[in-house]
Amino acid sequence: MIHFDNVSYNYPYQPETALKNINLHVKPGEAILITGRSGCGKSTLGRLINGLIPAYFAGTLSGDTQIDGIDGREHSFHDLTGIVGSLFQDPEQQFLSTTVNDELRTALEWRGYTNQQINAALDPIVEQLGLQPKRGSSLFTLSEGEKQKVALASVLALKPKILILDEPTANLDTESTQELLSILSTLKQGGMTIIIFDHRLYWLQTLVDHVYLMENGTITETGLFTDLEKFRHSFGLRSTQYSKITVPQLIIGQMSQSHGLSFDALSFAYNGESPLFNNFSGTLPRGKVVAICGKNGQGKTTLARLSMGLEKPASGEILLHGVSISAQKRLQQSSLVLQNTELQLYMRSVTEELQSSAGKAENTIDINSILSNFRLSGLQQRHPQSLSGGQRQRLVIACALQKRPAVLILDEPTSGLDGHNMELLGQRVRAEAARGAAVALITHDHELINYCCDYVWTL
Amino acid sequence: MLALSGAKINNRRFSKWMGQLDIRVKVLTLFSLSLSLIFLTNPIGLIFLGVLSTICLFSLGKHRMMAVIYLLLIATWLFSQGFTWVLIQFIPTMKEQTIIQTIIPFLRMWPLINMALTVSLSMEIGNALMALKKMCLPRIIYLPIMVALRFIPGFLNDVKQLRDCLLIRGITLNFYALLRRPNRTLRLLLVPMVIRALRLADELAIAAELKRVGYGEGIKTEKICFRWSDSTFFVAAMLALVIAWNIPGAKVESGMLSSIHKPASPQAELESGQQ
Repeated sequence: MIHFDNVSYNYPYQPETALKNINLHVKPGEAILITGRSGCGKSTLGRLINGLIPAYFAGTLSGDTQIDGIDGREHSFHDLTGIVGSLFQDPEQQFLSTTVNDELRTALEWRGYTNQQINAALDPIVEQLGLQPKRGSSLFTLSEGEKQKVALASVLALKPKILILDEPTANLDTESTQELLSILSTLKQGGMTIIIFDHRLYWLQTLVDHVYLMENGTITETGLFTDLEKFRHSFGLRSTQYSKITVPQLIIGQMSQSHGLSFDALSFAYNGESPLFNNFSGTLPRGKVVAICGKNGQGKTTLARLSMGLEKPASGEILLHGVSISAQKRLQQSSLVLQNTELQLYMRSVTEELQSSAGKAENTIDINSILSNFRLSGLQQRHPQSLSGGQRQRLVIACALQKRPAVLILDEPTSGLDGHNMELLGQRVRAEAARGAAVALITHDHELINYCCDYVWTL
Repeated sequence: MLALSGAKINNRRFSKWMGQLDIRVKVLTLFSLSLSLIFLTNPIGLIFLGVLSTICLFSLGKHRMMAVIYLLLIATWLFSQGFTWVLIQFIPTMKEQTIIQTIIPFLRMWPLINMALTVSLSMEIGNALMALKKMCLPRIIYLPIMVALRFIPGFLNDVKQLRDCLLIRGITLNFYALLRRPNRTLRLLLVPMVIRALRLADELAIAAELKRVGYGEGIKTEKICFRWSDSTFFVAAMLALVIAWNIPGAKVESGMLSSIHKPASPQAELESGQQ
């Protein structure tokens, strides 16, 4: 189905080769996993398979590419969009509409299908994915898992022979991940070729036939899923086994209100909506790392915003170390790292970014050691916005720590991080807790929870 | 993330009704309103249209956003008052400019902003694309328009997120900061938003390419009929325009030029002749 021989690719104006001598042979109906460290070239390889390279991303491409028996040079990009379907890490990236029905219909409408043809193509897929009750819904109201299903349904409606999934579980909870696995297994049984690019590995054990490990733009190892364990350390991989949460649940009232961030009889509702919190109490203990879990829409991020003073509760109090302080002071003593790193970096260089977070007293030596701690050495003079996604994420966390906050909250910090960087993050938050901060991680990542959290707080 | 995440759906009944109106009706209403506002000079008529359009926007439930936009509008008016005062020091004939005259341009902007936001925030892009195609607009025009409208909620959410992120960093953006350190303040606002907009544009372009939007046979338009609610809304909107044009009230010329080029009084002409 896919034959790449000695394929190399350079992005325009980039000195380093993004892909080097790639040899990839995938049979029809096969499911493969391509993994490796952040920035190893996985996404570029995905773009090569779905034709975005060279149709959308110019650059220098060499070697032989063959997809579905046709030479890559003879395929037009738009032929390829009918053969290869792509599902992105964040399904919102590929939505062009605002309602489920519109989104499912868009690609078919642009292919000139009539209403009758569209319904004939969509109905079985909608039924298979259980989307019928959601068909009239707005995309804004769906959970991450449901959004993923809508994106998948709109891709499947085009009847692709190859399905590419780029970190499909990054924003999914365990339940949604299992559901996705079951859908992909059915598609594989139906003869679809499936290519998955992911850092999270545990859920793929029963699905993939072969694994390919990438490093510095080239495929360096291939094997079976069971071979991954031996490469785990050298490639910085995540766990291949499903991890059950082993840390204890945080019990309301278990923690003293005088040490940490406490919510006392808190009530809050967004304008005109039903209350998210009603007489809610609990404590994020000082010196501990707490994982805040729960389904989408349970108010995890809202709780973080309330903690920071970015939202005002309708009633109740928020206490820091037993003292009720104003929202402004709470904001000064806390740090929150959101998922959208682009909006959290403003300065002209990495050094300036850290200095602005730490204040003018910070000297260069400290900055060097901070960068070294976060594996960002050598990037002092780079513009923060020019860094890769993983590097930006680490820089934003490093900036948040420079404030030496009394409360530190990270929202989905491991989305898209490889094993090494997940461990690095775990070590940093543990160090912050040891310093005396109350640390909370909003996450679905069981591996991270077991690695560095003291308690789990399920909303 | 998250082009969509900030745009919370409003499930209230009237808001749903607004959302279900045919996009052609809404665009045509917006177009008729824009045309009327160019020529309408009766402040009572403008206020009448402003109030009606405010009701439409209010029904969408975006009250905080409305408050911010109205505050900006008032701030701009106050600025214009300040500059008018400065100009009066140099152009004495402008003393005759009344507050009503300076407020007219803002009274024109008020219903226009309300209606433009109502259209963009209550739109379903799929129906809108079909409807605009039916209006026989060239693809090169309607596709960029619709994509731009689709991302207005996402953009507003990004602005809100940026404000929060700056607050978390301990940076407060206000007018004083803009005056004191304009370069820094603009950089804090512009750099993240430009980068975000570029990334969003890239993602959107990729999604559109993969969906083959703009290529191939294109959309086969099915017959889209107006419903009674569409017709009722359109008739009501046109009726409101007719009422606004016919409300009794003085016609007020607006703007500086109207007072600068105002014919001098006979007494002034006499005085200048004597000189």
